[in-house]
Amino acid sequence: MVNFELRRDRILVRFRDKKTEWVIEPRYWRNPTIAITFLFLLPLFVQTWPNILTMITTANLYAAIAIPLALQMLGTARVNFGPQLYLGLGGYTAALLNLHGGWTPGETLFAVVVVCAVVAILISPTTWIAKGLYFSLITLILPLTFLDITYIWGDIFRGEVGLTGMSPLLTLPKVTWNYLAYYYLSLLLMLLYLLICDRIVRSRIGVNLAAINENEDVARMMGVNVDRYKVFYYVFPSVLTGIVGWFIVHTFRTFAGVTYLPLEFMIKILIIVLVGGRAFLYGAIPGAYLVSIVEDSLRTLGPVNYFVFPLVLIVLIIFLPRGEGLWGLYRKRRPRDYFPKLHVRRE
Amino acid sequence: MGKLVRIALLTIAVLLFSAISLPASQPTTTGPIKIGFMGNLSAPFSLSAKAAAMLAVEEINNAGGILGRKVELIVEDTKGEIPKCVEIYKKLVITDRVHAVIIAEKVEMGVAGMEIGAELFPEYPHIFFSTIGSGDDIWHHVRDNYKKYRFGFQTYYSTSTNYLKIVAGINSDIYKNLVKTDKVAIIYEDMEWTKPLRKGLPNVSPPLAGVYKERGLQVVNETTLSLDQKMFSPVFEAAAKAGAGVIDCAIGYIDQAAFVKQWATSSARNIPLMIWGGLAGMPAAWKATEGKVNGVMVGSSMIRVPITKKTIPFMDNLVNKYKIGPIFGSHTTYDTIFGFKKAIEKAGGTANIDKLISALENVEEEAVLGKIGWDKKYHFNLPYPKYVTPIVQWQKGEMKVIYPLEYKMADYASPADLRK
Amino acid sequence: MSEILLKILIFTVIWGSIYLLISLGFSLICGVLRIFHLGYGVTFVLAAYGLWALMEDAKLGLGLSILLMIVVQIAFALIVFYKGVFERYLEEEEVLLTLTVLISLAVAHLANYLYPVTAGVSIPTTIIDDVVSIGYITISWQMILAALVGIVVTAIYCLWFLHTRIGLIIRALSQGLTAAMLMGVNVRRMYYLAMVLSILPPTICMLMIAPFWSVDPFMGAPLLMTAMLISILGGLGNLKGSIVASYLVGFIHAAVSFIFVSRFMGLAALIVTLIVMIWRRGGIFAGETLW
Repeated sequence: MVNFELRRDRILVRFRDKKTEWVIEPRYWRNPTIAITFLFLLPLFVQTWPNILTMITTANLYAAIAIPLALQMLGTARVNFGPQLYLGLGGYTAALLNLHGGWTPGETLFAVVVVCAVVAILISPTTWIAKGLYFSLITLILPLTFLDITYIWGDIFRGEVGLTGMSPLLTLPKVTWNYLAYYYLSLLLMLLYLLICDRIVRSRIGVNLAAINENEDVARMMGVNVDRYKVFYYVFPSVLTGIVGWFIVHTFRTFAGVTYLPLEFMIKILIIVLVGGRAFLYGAIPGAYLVSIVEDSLRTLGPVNYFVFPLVLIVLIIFLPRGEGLWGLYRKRRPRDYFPKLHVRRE
Repeated sequence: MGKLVRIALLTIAVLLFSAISLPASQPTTTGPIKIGFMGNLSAPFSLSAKAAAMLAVEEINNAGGILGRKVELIVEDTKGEIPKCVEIYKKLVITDRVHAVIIAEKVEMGVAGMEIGAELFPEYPHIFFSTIGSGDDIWHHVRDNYKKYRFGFQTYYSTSTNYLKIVAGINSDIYKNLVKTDKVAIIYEDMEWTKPLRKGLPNVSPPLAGVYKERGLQVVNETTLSLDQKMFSPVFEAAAKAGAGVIDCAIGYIDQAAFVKQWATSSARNIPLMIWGGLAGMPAAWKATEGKVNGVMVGSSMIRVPITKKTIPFMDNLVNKYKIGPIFGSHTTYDTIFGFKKAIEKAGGTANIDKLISALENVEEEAVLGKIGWDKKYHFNLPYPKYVTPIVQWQKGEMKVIYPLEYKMADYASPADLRK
Repeated sequence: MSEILLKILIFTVIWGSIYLLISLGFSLICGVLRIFHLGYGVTFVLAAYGLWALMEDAKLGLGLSILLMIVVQIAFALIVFYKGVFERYLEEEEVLLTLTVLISLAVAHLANYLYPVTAGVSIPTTIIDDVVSIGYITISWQMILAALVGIVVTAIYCLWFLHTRIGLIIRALSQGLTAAMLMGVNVRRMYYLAMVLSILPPTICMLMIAPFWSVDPFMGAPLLMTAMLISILGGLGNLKGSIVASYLVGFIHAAVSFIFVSRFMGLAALIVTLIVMIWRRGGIFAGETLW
């Protein structure tokens, strides 16, 4: 039923009339391999500083939010200003079910996927209704509304305190092993997201995606079912973001909406996307690492770091290759350099 | 190439080995006593608490340290973010091997820190103090799972039980005897710490309104504010219409400057405000509200009244040495460190963590605001009358203590009289 | 019943006018430059802290300080925002938005570093420190004055746009950039003018509302949020829309807080905006032109 076919530089997999391919030519794999090996070996160098390990774990999670966001921006041709809605949704779903229902992390993961998918499907029509900035604004308001709800229904969501005491994902005999394991889990999560998103972008539906963000109307005329694709590209990354929330719940074991739902958190993600390279999947990783490292090293400056940090980011954004960020330093040509338009009508 | 690979593999093996065999040792029992301080250093309360911690450490070191050991303070900035807080907590405990961590920040940070602390505690014994986070979450952890969370101590003015059992009593005393009214309007802010006040604690206490009723007061109006609210006229209109004689404000985090400014120009301007804490109790409040805070009563620890012989020197030293005024949280942080010192002395060192915890449970030390010590079972600091938060009234540019009566500086005066 | 209606009416007018003053500059930039100015909150922070610095540190009088502060405001808007960001990144909105947010963060944190809440920053711009009673309600004169100023400033702006030549040019610019350029409009000069014009309402607003509003380094964010909400609800960059939306938001706030409870006034406005955006995606006046 499934046919494998070995070509000179790739393996073709055919399933009925669909096909996918994996490039096996070594020279395409060299740089990713080096990068991934580096990330896998990184803990060895920072082992004695668990705080740095935690920092890069967090950076992995930021990247794991930014990667699906990039895919979402490519696929829906809209800028989502509120992916943290799903982070919150995933986090609270996992935490509440774990605390009150006694669900195990495995079970809560399933619940998170279901809840995020259902909510995302319900909200997905906004990708047809609203365009450009209007979509961004709707998505901006949603997490803020959710944040207010966490205060109003304080009995459930526990307002500013948040939920605590969720069961951990791992209980290894030593905490330092735990932290190491969390790092690898977050790394795997991020790489998995990257792989999935990469496969999607390179696949047949990725071609449709290119058509959609090139010109929606033309794509529609060429027979692309734009609406259906948009629902997919809205729902799927949302679920991925929700899973990050689940991961945060079971590793940090505290979850408060005030940390993740306000605009400040989104701005951090947006900066990561921009510093890494706008809406380009791989850029999110160097972006997340750089932003985290810069922020952490600036902390040594004392209270001035609060206004030096935005200034450094401004300088980074201005002086990195225009709009292409860190990824632009590495790759001069990209298959799909695209960021959805956000402006108020300017012809 | 082969040689390179071998060297690389060897390095990795060595690093891996060192990683796994990383010793999870006790903090030192002879060197300096290390205290880690964490706060959001863009927030005035954390900055003030930081200065207070530095002052305490300096004073202890000048007096010869603790049991002859110097005290070392490691200050870290959490930027008010939970991931950062988790990160730094690990650094302080694992890398720096501190004996105690102080989180002088909002309660969500304290709670997040405590979770991480509980994970680390069996391998890296340490003590955790939360000196700003209000509410019940810290000590509820200790109550619900003593074994796991016994390293955690909370030094902040009150817990909800004490709010309802003690503070409500003080307030009703003030309303009946000083303000001379029996009609109260209550305003809450919609946060977790006011929930027990709004809804009561099952089997412990009725809600705040119920407590007031029990004490012979009449609650004529109750309302809740959201944190981001800027327009308060409606609540004052409602309180005035209900004929309240005093407005009891269980608020601490909302925009108090706007709240007070709008009160001073509303129908309720002649009804005295009683604010539980926050900006209105800071010396800057007069300037920040252009004097509109005149007549407001507020629970404030930033008043120059010698509750103990430490009070005035503490306030002066803080301002002279660190150019920062005391705010809520600086007293508690300062006192906590002295309480910790005495506990170490009682326990005879830091070697045995359980001995140290039990010393902390039984310690009582003279503090800036009375006596510092922690509840044996629940680890919140001993409440009034041990630890005093004076109730002050803003009178023509100055805060004057009106309660407790032993520290009284002036009589209560109505806002209308004060404005004359 | 009639009492509640009267209260709602009065506060709708007062709050609506104040919100109008808060959002006017934002709508203007949105309408003329066609960008979403996320750094708008900086104007309020600069107004308050610039004035405070000039008065407290440079020991200048109130009037001179206000004048100097306005000069600083205009310089900041033109050099940092216009020359530094808008002109360079007009076509790359995501960069533009992020940079403006970062600038406002930097300004807010700098203000917080120099003058934390404990410094007791306030602006002595109370004009009449008294209250007036209308029926059962007491309102501060300052609120009424702020509302009046809001109405007057908006009226001046509207009249100016409708009845002067430059106003006509700016309206033309907002309707069609290319067409306006073809007609020989000096776009850059008009953009400069629009930037300056957008600075004045928030500055005046800050001076008027300071006596009943709090001054803190992070006040820009909630004010920007109010301005954004009104602008979205009214239709981006449309002054008519802004006027209607301001009073609508004022009405929602007043109605919710007098009939129900004031805790929900913010949430109610958010939800109404959300519904309006989904139902009528461009807002109430969806033209995206200035008038």
